Amino acid sequence: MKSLLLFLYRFRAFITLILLETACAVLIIQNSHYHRALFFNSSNNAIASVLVVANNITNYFRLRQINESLAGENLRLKNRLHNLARLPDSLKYDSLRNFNFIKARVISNSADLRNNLLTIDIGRSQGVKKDMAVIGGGGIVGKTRYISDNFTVVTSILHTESMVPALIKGKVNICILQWDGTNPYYVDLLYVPRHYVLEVGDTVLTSGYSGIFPPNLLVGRIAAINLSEDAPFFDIKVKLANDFYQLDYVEVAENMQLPEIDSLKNLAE
Amino acid sequence: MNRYYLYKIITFFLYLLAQVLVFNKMVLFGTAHSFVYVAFLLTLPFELAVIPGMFIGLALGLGIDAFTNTFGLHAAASVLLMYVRPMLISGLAPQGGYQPGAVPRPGSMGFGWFMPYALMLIFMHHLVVFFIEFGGFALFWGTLLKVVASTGYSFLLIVIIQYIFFARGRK
Repeated sequence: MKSLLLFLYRFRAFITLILLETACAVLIIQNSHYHRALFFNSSNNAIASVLVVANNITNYFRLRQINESLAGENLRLKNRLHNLARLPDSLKYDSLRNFNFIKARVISNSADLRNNLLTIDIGRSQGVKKDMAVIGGGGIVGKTRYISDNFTVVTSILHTESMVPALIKGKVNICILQWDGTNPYYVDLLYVPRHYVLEVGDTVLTSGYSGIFPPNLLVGRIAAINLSEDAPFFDIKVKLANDFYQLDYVEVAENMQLPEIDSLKNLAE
Repeated sequence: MNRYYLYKIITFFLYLLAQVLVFNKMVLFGTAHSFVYVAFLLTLPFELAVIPGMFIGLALGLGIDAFTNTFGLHAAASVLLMYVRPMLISGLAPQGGYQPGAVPRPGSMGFGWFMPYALMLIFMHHLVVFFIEFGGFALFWGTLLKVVASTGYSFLLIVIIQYIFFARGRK
């Protein structure tokens, strides 16, 4: 017994190291595999408040740029609205009608890590729930992950776990978008069978099959197509429509019909 | 002595805030990250025992992790750094040991002592951070490039900060 205690005492530093590293490993694994925040994260009120103050300062210097991007978006939407108004009544179809959008500001963001997350300034009290789509900046942004009363952490498209069902306009209806973790301007388009005829510049849109993202939102354009000799699928790089370094304002999209879709799916299983 | 602890606690939070609000955004070419907060751990006094040191590393690492949503990542690297630090300090000890009142800063120990000390610890810390963050060894060389570039970048910023704010080798 005495020698055991002596042994423990002699290696107390090493034992502490092992204990602390195990605790850290548990935290890392909990976070990456179970999507559960055990303790605090940046949706915590105190932490997010610090980020808001910092963001208020940095945003002040970028007001002109932010204004310009919002005016650009306004213009695009007005053009679209005008064209929609000219359609005969029988053809009017607004694919976004099932979705309700909530405005949010990005208070912290990264694009240089392998698994990037954003923090936005709305939360449960503004109606945010888990796994809602986040869009903005002319493209798609991500999916809500951790939600507190007033803040939300968003899993960015630039996160290796992010998968978004997509389509190539007029050509392929089922494929998946996923980021390979290297360049924040490009994502991979997976599972496009080799018999399709594709071109660089083809438009990639969300398909809306997950029920999370609204259908037909712009994701980006095809930048490179490769087909290896015996591969069943293309290797496709898509240039993202939005620049993750320049995200300021985003919208959280709630699918009003998701509960109905989910209950139907449960019946089918 | 109490004033000294207060001073250390304040610098702890200054490093934490500077890291999450400023240095986290200063990424060069999407490759070189700067984890300047490591300087707080590097410049803790020589006499600090290993176990309290590891807990300080854990606290600072978890603080960084809370802001960047990387639970346990910086904490794991910082704890390891604080475990290795005393060994490196005794390994690099000059003949006759350290002078009383000396601190591990370039202003006190000289740049020739500080460079290998800081570079080795920063490199190890960044190695752990980037490989855990990446979640494996696929793209090994790409990740290693990030580690090496970031080590140089962090080291440069840390040395500049040391010479600006702690030129006289103050504790």
